[in-house]
Amino acid sequence: MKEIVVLSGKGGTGKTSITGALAAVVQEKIVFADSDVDASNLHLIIGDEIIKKEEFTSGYIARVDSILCNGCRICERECAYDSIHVKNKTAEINEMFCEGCGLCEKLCPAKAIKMDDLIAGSIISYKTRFNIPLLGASMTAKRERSGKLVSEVKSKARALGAEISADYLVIDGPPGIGCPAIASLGGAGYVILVTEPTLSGFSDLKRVFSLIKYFRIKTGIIINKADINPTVAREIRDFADNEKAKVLDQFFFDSIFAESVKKNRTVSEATENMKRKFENLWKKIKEEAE
Amino acid sequence: MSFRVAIASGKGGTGKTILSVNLALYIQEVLHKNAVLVDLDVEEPNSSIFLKTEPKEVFEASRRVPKFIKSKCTNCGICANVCMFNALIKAKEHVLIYKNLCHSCNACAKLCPEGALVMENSRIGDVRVFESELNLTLIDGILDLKEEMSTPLIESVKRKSDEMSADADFIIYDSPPGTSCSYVESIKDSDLVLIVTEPTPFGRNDSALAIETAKKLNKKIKVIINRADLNESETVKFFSEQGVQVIAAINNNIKIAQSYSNGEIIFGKFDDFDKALNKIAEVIIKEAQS
Repeated sequence: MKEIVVLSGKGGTGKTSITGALAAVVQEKIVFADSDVDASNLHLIIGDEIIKKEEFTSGYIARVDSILCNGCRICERECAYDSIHVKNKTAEINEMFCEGCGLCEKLCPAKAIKMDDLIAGSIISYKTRFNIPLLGASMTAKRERSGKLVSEVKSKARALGAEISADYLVIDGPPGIGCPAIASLGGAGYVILVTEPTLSGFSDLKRVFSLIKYFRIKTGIIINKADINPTVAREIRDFADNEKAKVLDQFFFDSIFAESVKKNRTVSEATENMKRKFENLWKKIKEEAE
Repeated sequence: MSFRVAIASGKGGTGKTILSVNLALYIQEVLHKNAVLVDLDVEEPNSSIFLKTEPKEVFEASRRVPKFIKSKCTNCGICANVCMFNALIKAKEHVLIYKNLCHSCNACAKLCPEGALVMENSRIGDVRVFESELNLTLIDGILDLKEEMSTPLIESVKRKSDEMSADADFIIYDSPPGTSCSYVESIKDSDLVLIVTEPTPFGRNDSALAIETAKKLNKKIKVIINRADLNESETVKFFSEQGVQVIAAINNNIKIAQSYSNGEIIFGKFDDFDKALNKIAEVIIKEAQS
């Protein structure tokens, strides 16, 4: 099963719109996944129904037994995340900031702190109207767990892919170049970068491209809203040439993208023309990903 | 004391940076108050593009990771046992440290009976200071490639900006996209969170997640609609149902997008954009006084 990951560096360039539009035209056995676990959106245009929702526990969170706690403040002083404060002679944990390192548990002379399993989020399976399974996630913990949740979504998607003998796994990734983006790249066979011809978009493209170079993954580029700034669009094409990355396609600025999202639909479903454009794009992606 | 405003969104590409840069300039140029702009999107910092200037000063930023002193290590394995993040592994002769997995909790160093582990600085990126021709100070952070954790760098950027903006009336934080760790770090010290959204299911979904998190941190929250259509009563209602007020709307305008694509300053060029800035500034000033 070939894994194709869609990234962009900059947010809002059209990753999800384009990934959704591909889901509407593919013919192969395939699984789609959304690894933008912080702010996942792909289900809003292709996930018609939730089939299953499973809790995902990862790491720990400190809990204080207020009866045992004597308010000695050792935990408060030693916590590297400033997540413990003693109020009315009892330690209180701020769950938003606790990373679950367990140092407080080990240092507490009153044995008043215990580490509990943390429900970091949930993995959600969706049914789509295209007969393609979609796996997504929602994140409940707000600390550094997104990488783990991304890996979990991917491993569930791989298992599902193996079950249906899928040829491809297409992953709609997060913006940025940090932990969730890096976790999304693990195991990828091909990367699609969706960019826009703005100085910000181009700058972010270069950073995410350099990151992918470390992983030595073949990369194709899609220029979205290409007519907004033809000069920067040309610079992006030159950059792609220099880096031997193929420009797979370009899309002009078209209100049909926003209009489709507003109707919770993909652009491939909006017009015959768009449908054909995405069929051709998918063909090209398959050739390049080989 | 400076009043801190975080400009955030959940979804990427809704207009955080365009608003942050222009709002800071507006406060400075029109209201004649001191504003400092702080770009906390350390994975993909873009604010500096709009100031068209090189950094005046660059400081190395780091986080704390353990280093072991071979002569003191008895290979007892306690450190590997206490590390909840699997960053330390007991090997045949001594312990192995995986810096990338370390969450800088200090548990290993604190609990090593031999004092064989000490925390040392490990480089994660740079904090940069820019001085624009328009007399605006910008402080940003730029994460090294392959570095997964952005929150320690966001903290460093905030620390530097606090040092440098003692006499600022307003500090404007340009926050990263997403709704978890980096976002939490970027809003946790702010006095007001402005959520920039776009009137699509994507924008609403991610803004709602960002609002939910900001509420847990007891933040004051207001919403700005970008790329608005003529009638946004439905979006206004969506937010008022969450108890959050929409304070301004910026109409969809391709000319603004084109101007942005060239890294231009928008304020002073489009009447309705300036009017929106004026409305936002009024709200900020009122909140700062209350």
